[in-house]
Amino acid sequence: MILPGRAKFFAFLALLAGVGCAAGWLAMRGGSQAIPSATQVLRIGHYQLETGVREGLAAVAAEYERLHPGVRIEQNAVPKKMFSAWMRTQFAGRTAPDLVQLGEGLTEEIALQNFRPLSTWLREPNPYDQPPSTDGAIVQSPAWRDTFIDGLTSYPSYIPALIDHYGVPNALFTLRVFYNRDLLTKISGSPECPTEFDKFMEVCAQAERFDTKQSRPLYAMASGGEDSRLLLDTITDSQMQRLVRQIDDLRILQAGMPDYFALHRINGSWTLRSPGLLAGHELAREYGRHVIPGFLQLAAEDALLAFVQQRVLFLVTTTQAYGSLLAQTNFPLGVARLPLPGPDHARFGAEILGPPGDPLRPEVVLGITREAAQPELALDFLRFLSSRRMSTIFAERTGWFPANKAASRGSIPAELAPDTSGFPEGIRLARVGLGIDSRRAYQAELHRLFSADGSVEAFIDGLVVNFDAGLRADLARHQKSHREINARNDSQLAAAWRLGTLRDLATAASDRVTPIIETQANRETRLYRAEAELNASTKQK
Amino acid sequence: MQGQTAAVLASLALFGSAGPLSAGSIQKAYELSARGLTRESEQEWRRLEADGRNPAGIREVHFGRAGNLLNVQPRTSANIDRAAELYRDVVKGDPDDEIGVASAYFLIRIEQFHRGTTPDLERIAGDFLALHAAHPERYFSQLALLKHVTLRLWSGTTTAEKQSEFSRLESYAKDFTRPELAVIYHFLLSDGYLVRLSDPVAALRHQRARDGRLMVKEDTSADLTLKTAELSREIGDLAEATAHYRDFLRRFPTNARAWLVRQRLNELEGAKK
Repeated sequence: MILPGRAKFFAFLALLAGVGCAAGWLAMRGGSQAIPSATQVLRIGHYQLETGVREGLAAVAAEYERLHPGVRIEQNAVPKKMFSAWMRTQFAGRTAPDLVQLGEGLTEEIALQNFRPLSTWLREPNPYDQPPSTDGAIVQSPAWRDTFIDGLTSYPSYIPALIDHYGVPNALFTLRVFYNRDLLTKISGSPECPTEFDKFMEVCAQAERFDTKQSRPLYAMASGGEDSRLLLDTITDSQMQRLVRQIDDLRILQAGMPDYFALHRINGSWTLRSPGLLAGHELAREYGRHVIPGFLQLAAEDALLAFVQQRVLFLVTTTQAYGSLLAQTNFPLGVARLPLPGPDHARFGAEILGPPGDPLRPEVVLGITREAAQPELALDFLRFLSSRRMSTIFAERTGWFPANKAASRGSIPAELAPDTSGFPEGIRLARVGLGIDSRRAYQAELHRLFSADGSVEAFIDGLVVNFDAGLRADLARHQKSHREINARNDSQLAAAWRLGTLRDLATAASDRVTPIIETQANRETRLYRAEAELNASTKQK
Repeated sequence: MQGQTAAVLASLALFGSAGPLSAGSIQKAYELSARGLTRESEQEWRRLEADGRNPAGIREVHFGRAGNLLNVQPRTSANIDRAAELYRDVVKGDPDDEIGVASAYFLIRIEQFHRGTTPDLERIAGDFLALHAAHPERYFSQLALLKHVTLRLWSGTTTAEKQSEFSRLESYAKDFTRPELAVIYHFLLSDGYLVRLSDPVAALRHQRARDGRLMVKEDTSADLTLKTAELSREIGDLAEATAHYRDFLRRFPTNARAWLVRQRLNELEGAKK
């Protein structure tokens, strides 16, 4: 239906009003119903609107309410795009729920001012996670933090600058290729996704030639939004293993801090034409030839829709999409790791030392707010939610891989489990990078890499113009941040040290003092190393 | 329990008996500062400062409030000036006791991190060294020595200058009687040798000097263990490398580098056969 211009304008206004009302309702509905006065209400604010997540949380909440009569648990599920603004408004108005998701829009300042540190409780056992005893013997319970697969070392569960834990995760996610098994069989003769890179590329080419008997073409692959940047980083990083080894001057078998990576660029340890960078982007271009056109601008939801409508064969997205895909597809779904070249690959093997491992990325990380009306109840529910039994229920409802290492994975396909057997994540340029300036400079040139008449050379030529300036600006921002956080930590150090000496005169350094001193030592080393190397590079010029 | 009683008695001795300036109030204010809740803490410190009933405890309050003022947001030069003034009062009261030395340390830190972005690092490094020389046994003077080392590690441009400075910094190893500070000293020197002088042998010597002690923070401890293994492997001490790789896998089984470490072990075991 085609509307005249004026009607289009009013339709647009009506749409805006509708979106506003829906968002307002989503944000407000938690507190809008009458609550019996004897009921304790625990409120949770999060942004996981994917299929099954609200249902999973509701199932755990129902179990908790059954065990704790008089407690009611409510969710405020806010769209991710609005979450940051919503969270800030809640904190400013002192109306924040008891539990709020950490991730979108989180800064160190927000965490410090609005969330409660959890390390003290994480060192104790989770009372809801007592290990089973088979012969009546007393089994020692592990610390709560040790019940998680990643040991709670990942951001945002642990915030290094604040030297404390602020949240507890309930799932782990990773990047995967999802595919239509029926369609793949028609195209390649097999329902299984090839694991070898060359064969995967071959199937992509077959898909593009496949006659769908429909007017619209079939594309081999789709990916959108953050997923496409994660895809790009995964591809390019796989070619930078040798480069990481080359710049690992601290002998820690990884790329180290992003500011060190920038310093290595500034002191000339690597260039924009280092073999790893060139090969990584050659490989990305190979992949890009088979991804739906315009994917850099495509939203993740649009990529998913194209897959559901069978306009693409493969969807590269995170495992968070699994529940939504199961609900929305009417064809048998396959899932596989992204096929990448190995060290023996004729064209792309030279820069590879081994397979890349999946990083552990925590999700549904919930923290207790400082404004929580019932912090003890919030803590108790967090323990309950992350226990083995409840993690199993949550995983069953969401299809998401549980963060609790003893939880049952049930019907979740083994391919969704993060596989850490491989090289750790190294250099990310598209998604996180060193900072906003270098990332923008990088992203702004990607069209030169992926356009039909583009090339790696054209991309690097474009990158040369602004990337180094971006790195220097980001490095300056890091330096400023090191100074500010160090200054803040001085204040905490003085108080923690004095508190320790007052409580026990024999001990000058309590368990809270040494981590601050270690963090400051690390940060000051980074600060003064950068200053020394920047000065040296200026003198060389 | 005995320790707690002793602490309470000690606190009472420090702060006097009950009342607004009690040990409990002071500890509450410190607790808020330590957690970074500076607005709430500032209210407590102001209340304690305004209460003139216990002059003996006011030095403690000045120390506590000065530290808190360093982090009151938004940071203002007036707050930093006031913090410095309070620290100077504490030093004047007794420059040799624990909080006197700590205040002298924070006065130097104010110049290093709390005023402007171009501090005179030469002078600051000298001030840290002088504080250590005056009170070598105190906790904050040993920390001051660590800060001196941190600053001087990155000074000098020619290899000869760097080598000379590293030789001088080596002589401080014996001055760190606090084990947790000694570990950080060796960590700093080891990284310094690698980055500034490309000297894996000296770097490994400092890793060995840690005597098996790790840092409290898990991520840094994982780095230390791995670094010792890698350096041992590099200089050909394969038995030591193997022991440290195994130690890494035992202590940090879920670390993202565990697979790589297993590869290293396989290579070493393959080389033995």
